[in-house]
Amino acid sequence: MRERSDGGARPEAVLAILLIVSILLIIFSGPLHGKAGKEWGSRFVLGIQQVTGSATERIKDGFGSLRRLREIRLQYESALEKLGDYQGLERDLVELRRENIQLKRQLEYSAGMNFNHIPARIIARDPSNLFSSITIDKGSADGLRVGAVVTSFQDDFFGLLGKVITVARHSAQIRPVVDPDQYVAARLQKSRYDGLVEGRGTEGGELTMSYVRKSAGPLITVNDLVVTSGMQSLYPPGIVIGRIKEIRARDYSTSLELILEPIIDVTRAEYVFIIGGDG
Amino acid sequence: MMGRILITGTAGIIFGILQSVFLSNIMPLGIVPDIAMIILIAASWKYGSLTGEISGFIIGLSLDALGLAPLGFHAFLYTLIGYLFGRMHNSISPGPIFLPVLAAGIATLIKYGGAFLVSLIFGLNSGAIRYFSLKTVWELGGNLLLAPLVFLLVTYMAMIFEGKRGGFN
Repeated sequence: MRERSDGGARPEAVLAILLIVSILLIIFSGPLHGKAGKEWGSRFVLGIQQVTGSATERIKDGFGSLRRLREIRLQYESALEKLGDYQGLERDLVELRRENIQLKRQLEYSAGMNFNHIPARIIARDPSNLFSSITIDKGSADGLRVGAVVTSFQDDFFGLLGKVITVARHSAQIRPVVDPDQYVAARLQKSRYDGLVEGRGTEGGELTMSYVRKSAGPLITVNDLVVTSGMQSLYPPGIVIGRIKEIRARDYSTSLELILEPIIDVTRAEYVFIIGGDG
Repeated sequence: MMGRILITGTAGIIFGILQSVFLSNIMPLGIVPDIAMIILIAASWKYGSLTGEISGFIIGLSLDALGLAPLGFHAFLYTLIGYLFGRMHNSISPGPIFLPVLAAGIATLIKYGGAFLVSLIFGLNSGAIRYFSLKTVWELGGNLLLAPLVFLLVTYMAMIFEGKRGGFN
């Protein structure tokens, strides 16, 4: 039995039309034609994402408050039974101290930055697990513009996270530095040799630094830091990109290939600082 | 039919946004099950190819706008998934557990296999697309676990809406 409620349309014909439309969209918004075609859609959906993100945060806060109320009640009951038992309270205190230290560090970092910067919070990530985009809660209304550099603070390091690629009024989309479509002019912090860093698209989010002169080999060691060079690039100099994890030297090649571990783990980042906005 | 497409498309978009905003923040490593896709296969199975492919196209476009994918990338994959699982309509009932789990597994493989082929054919940066990694296995696991629940939810929602409005014809 066929569908009776389809107005006579053949599913195969509709499928063909929709697939052709999809293919045309891919062609006209793909790498050959830039991303202009999808910007209108992204701006609209980014707006929805921003509203949902804020609502989610409020809900999370609400649930957090409920959770905390429950914890306090449990602690009260526990205190009635055993007055000397401060374990639950102590656990909360440790968590608050940890959070306090983390926020203080972010604040010190923000205050100590030499660039004009806009702090923002990560509110969403790619919905399909196939790509690596990040959405933040600041947009053009806050002075953000396409191409602005995104940094973050993690494990005592101020590091490069990516760049802004789409800006809506109150939200923006970031392409992380680990994305293979992203190239950054880089320099070895100690030996001062230049190279080009790009994402490898691997599961561990590693980066590759290419075009490093082979003569630099003896001066380079694992764990050396790699920073932005600022040369012919939108990235200001001196921002840490990553640490050398592996040095590869091939006989037939005139340059070294360095495998880097990014200094900022994108999956753990919560807050970012945007440099190069109008704010 | 318009009502079915509207409900399926809206549910898919809502879950797509929830996946990116909420689940990606609470799940370890940000790996989230593709609930929007499971809703699509459940609705396609229930209502047929036409509803499935149009809903898939709408959901896919919204996912394209939410991420770094070129416009049309997810639209292509989800249209295909909607059509294929719509073919099951009137031929076999999904039942409570086994077939929904199997369908979610096959759909996940179609999604990742299709992503590989689309990126190959259209010259997209293959490194930008994460297929067949440990994260894919995590997503597959999540999809398999959630499939019976989402199929049940779609059946329940269909009963509510169709019961109230006498169908979406």
